[in-house]
Amino acid sequence: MPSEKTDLLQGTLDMLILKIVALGAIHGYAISQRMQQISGDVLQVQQGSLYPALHRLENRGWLRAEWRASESGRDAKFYTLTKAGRKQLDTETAQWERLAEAIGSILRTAE
Amino acid sequence: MSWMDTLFRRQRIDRQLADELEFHIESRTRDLVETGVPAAEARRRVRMEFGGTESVKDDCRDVRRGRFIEELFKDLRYALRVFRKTPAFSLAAICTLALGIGACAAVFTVVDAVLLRPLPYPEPDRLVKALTKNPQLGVKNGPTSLPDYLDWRDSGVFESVGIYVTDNAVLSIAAQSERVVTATATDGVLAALRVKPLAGRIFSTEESKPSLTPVVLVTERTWRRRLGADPKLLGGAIKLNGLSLTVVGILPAGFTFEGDPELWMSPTITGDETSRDNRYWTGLARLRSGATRAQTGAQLDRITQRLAAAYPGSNRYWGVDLVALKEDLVGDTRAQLLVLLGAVGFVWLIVCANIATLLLVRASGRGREMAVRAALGASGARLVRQLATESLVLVLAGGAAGVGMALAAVSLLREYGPPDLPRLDQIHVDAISVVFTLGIAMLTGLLCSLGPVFQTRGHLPGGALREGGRGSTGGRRRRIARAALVMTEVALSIVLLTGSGLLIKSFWNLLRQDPGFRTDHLLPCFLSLPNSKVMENGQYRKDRVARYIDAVTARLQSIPGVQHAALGMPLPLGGGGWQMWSKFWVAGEANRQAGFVHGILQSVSTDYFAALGVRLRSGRIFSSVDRPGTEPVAIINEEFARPKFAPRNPIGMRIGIEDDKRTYEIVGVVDSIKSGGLQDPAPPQLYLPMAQQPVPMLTAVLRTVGDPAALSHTVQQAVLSVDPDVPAYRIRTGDQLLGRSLARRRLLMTLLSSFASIALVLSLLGLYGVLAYGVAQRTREIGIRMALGAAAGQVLAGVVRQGMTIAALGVIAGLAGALAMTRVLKDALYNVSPLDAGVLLLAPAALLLVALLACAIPARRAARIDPVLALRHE
Repeated sequence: MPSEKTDLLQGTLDMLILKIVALGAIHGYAISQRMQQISGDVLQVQQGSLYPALHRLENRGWLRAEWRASESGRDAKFYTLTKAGRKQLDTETAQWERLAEAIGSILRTAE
Repeated sequence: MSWMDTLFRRQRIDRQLADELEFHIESRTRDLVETGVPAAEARRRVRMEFGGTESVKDDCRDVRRGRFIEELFKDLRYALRVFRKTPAFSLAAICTLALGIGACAAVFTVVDAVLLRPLPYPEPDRLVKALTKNPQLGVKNGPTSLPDYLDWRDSGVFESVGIYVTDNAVLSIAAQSERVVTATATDGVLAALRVKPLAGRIFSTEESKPSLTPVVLVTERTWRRRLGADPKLLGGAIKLNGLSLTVVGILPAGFTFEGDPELWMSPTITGDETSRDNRYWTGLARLRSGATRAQTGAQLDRITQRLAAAYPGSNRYWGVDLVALKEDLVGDTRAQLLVLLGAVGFVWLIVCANIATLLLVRASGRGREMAVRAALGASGARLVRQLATESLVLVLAGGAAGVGMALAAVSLLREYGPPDLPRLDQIHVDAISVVFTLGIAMLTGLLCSLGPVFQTRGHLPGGALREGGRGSTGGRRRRIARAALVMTEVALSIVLLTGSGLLIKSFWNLLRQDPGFRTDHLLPCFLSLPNSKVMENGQYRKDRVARYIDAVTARLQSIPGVQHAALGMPLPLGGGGWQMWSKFWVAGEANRQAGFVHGILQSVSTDYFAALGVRLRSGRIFSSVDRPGTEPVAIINEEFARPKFAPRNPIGMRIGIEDDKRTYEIVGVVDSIKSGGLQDPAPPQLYLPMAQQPVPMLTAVLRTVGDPAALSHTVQQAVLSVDPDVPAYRIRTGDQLLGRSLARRRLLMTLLSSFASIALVLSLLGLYGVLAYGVAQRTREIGIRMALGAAAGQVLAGVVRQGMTIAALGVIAGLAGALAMTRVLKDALYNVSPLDAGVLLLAPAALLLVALLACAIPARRAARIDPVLALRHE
């Protein structure tokens, strides 16, 4: 069975994917493009991590997938956010902000 | 997406996954080409970025829920491969499991059918038999009389109550006459059973009064099989016992009753129905809703007390017991079946222990394989699951074979089982027994896989790799676990061995019992004159019966190969027939009430004792002198003569019989015949000459020169030639009669002995396996010892000591268990104490002797180890 523990990296990737998909139906390649663009080339997601993550999120019912024509005319697998996915995104975002805040304040005090 | 989807649409999903990744690669390549990279270089770069599509696909599949099932299939394939690689092990394991599970399933099926399944009537728990008792006469579970029944009925303590007697009658269809089993019953019996006729109606209360023209109910099966499903039968007539009787109803398919009667008749006038002392009916009743057996019994007791006061001559000391119908039907079978169930449970436990030992031994041998897999990244849970899967595959294969075995065993039992096993015809493998078998199989799998699974847990790959490499014996704890399993097997085997030893000894004791007559070259059969032949205007025509008896005796006597032919009633060894119990006293003795003898009264023809081979002790047997009109004479058996007359000589003394004004002169004393089973003491018997006291219900006994079975057809023809309406039926040889009376004990003994043998073999195989494995694992160690100077004899003794310690500990535990458990056999034993010293000594001795053999082979192998070769081992 896949391990259920979510380390920082994996949890973060899931959150980022959810966030990007929340902006509108999108296929896997576009997700990786978008992530690179928005982060200003700081974050580059490996395909080896992206697709298993997408399938995991779909499997958990946070993403829904359907096949439809892409901008290039070829059929692609488009992901959209489900209601549960939206909820998950909200909790993860809140968690992340709390964590970032906590880390930030520690770093500030340490100065 | 459910795991079913993943399982059955795996191909489609794989294709989609490939498409998705392909789309990514294509898009990325296109984008690169647009930025000016040459196409070939772009494709190469994208592939590098991707780092192998197959591993990405694998990771994607991994996150899917159906992976569990997929892995299960992988495990199954792996397990099958493992089993193919070790066919001997697999076959042995599957056969052992089949034996254990099959035996369990077969015995459970019988227990279920006989003990557990409810009777096939509505609300069966409210059905009771009303059976009489008379402590004074030693009567228990006895019959009742018609007038007593009427008092029960009119008291209203039951919802419905009736009386019945199973008998048989000659059914004549066209020119064919055949004996069929019948039940004569009052309406209350059928009302209590709540049977709804398929067509027509059951008896009315009016019809249930004894009459000259009883009415008949036909079972659906007989209506179809014998009467061609004739719809005109209802309201029509059938010829029964020479009388033309009206059929008023057809009983539904599947309706059965004790003895499986084909026809039900309302009571016929016999002339004795007003006598309260004429007890031959069995009472059957349905309790009132909400009433308990105890409450109703107490109410009934008040009625019987009233009757005893009103009719002291016939009813004093008589009481009634209410016995649940099912309890009455099952009787002493319950204890025997539970013993069998326990025994088969032991065998099953031994099988589990055996398989567990086998798997343990194998798992130790596979320590290295497991360690390699763990090192390659398999999680502990994953390995455990794989081992569990392997055990399950084994068990399921064994279970399937076991179900086949159970089916075969059950059909064998139905065919050849003891005829007196209640509900024998209802034994079949049904949903409950299949569920039970599956449950047993799963439980077996769990138990068997526990050992190897525990062993796998907590293994550090490094340690296991090293251990496997050195070929060690797998640690102290595991050695103890294996020894404990084998010890348990030995202990359980000892319990079974003692149990079967006791049964064998008791069976042997029974076989040595003299039945009082010779069963070889004997051919008994039944022939009964129907009422229509012996009654005339309500008058019993003795002369006609006597004439028939003379004719049929002469005819049978004239058959070539028949030495003696005689008529009598009933058959010994519980072979059936009317047992007429009566009270006898010595004429002239003052105290009639205290001094009477309660025994069987029967009329026999002249050659009866010669035909059965009963020895004459003193005096003479009947002869042609004893005719109607000559001095009334009687012969008594030893059981009558010794307690009553010894040391006086009974010959010449006169005997009085209840309800008979005459007295009879004793002319002879014969050996006692066992009238019931061989285990039951012979009752006192008083014989009257058939010529003086002819009876219409008869058995013929023939002593033949050659094989009696060969004559059965001739006998049938001979009897029919005297009167075509009176066929001979239930023709069996004397040996069959004896076999029948022993059938149930024989079955119990045979089954328990075979279970014990299986247990013995399995536990010794277990012992052998563990020792042989230990020796194989310790080859190097033994080699070193021998190189250092240990003698072959020492090595040999070491292995034998190890094995015999396990066996001895098992034997001690087993003996303790046997002492505690063999008392459940008490009722099944004859002339053997459950603590019989011989058996309790012999069983362990036999086991230890064979155990020594099981130790000897691996011990010899150990002693022959060549140090030089051993050190190079592996």
